[in-house]
Amino acid sequence: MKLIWKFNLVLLGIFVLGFLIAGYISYQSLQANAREEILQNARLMMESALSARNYTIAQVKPLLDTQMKYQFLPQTVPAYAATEQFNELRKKHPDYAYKEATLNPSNPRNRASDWEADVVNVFRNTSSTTEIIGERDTPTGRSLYLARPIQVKSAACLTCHSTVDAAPKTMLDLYGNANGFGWKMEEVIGAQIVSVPMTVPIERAKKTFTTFMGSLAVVFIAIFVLLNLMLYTMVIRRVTHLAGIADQVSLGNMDAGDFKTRSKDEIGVLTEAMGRMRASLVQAMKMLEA
Amino acid sequence: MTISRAWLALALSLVAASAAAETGIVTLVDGGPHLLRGATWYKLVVGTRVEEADIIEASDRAQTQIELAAGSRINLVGAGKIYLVPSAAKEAPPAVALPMGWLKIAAKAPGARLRTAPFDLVVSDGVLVVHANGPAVEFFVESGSARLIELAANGADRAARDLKSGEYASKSATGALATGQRVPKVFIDAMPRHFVDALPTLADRIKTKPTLVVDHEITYAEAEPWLATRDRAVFEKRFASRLRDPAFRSAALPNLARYPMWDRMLNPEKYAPKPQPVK
Repeated sequence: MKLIWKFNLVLLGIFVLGFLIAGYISYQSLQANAREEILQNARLMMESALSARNYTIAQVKPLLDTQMKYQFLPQTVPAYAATEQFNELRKKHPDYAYKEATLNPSNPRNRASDWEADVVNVFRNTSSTTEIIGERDTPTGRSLYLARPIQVKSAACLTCHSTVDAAPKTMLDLYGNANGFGWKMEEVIGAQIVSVPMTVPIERAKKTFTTFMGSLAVVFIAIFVLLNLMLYTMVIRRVTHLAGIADQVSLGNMDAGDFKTRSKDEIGVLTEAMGRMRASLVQAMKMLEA
Repeated sequence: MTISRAWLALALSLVAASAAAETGIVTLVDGGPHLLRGATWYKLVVGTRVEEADIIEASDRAQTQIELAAGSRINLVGAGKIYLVPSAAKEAPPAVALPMGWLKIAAKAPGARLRTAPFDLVVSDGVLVVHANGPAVEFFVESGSARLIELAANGADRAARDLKSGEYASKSATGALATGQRVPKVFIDAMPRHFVDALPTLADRIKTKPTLVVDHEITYAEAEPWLATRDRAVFEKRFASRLRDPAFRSAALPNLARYPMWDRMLNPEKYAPKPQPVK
């Protein structure tokens, strides 16, 4: 097997191995980054919803307390405020979703669906669980959800949700007296669930992976071609030429050509050495003939 | 009593009345309401110090807020009128008569007594929204509680009942008093929009004390409704000085039978002791 084939075989093996390892690592890393990005988005949106809740409790509700004596204003309810704020966001980003999924809500739109109820029940059954992250398929593609428990921690919640008698009459006018009562202090009554679409970040990660692997392949091919070119011009061609002259000289053809070179590299030194060797051989032959 | 003595007594009583104590400050004025002090109308402006016996009248789209020295706040909106009833006793809570209009009162201890045609409302610490239209009155207890005191024909207190926060009561011109646990939507819809909010406290911000600008003297047409209230005697005395005005006097003359004091002043001969028949 020729030297160039041996060289190329090894080089190709190294390249393929490197390509596969780099591909595996970068794919895993990009996918992990994409998921982390989705999770970051979900957390940011969860915090945004919490901010809307806290702002409503601290600033909006006190301003509207008097009005609540005349008409129940859902704008004073933290869950309503957070949901409405998110609904505004959904006008531009319809794939994102936020829900205060509640098992027994006053406002029917907050009632937990089947899978949401399962999440809420996990929180209810394991008090140590403070966050659940999961993935699910939706009509618009795969989606990541982040859920945190809603726990009754303030007696103010019980003003509206303990008993029908204690609830503001104006609230009963709006929501009736069938749902949203019987909540207890420290009870987990629902979960805040943020859903973030995974399609776009995952697709972006895949695109980045393809670009990266394509670039890597181009670089590998360029290196492969360059190395072959260098090997041929700097080694193979000169050694072949040297071997051809040496072969003719060994058969007694002293006119086969000169071992000439201007190069000072290892092959140049070899060429000069072989030139001296041939000169010595010619002189020895002449001495024998004389 | 001769005519001159009667006028002198009247003048002295008016001087005494003019020294009435300030009971509050006007902190919000909108829509050009007027203040009646004595028998003279003034233009009401922010910062005006109100006194006992002052009357405030406003037309549509007007708003007036008074913050009483005792701590209560009164907001009168739209066409309406109130009368700051002079205190019967030193310790008595301030009293306000509301013959007509929408009024929101946020009372603080010692509270206030709101007088309407069919009943009085005493609120010590709470907020009421009241709509009065002569004998027809309705009100809502926004917070705290209120005592409703029905009145006898002579104006004396009769039965009383307490209403809690969230309760509503109404009395039409001819019907009986009705109470409810909810405020009717029709009441809320008719109510001035800003009554759904708490009344602001603005008195601390007002440092100026404007001089009142006279608008005009009271006419008989303006005085007549007050002369038909349970405080008729008080107003008869208060507006007696206006009988010097021929226009006022001529307008009052056809109804003089209703005003014994004025009749005595204008027709002293009717009340002069009859000469004893010579035996």
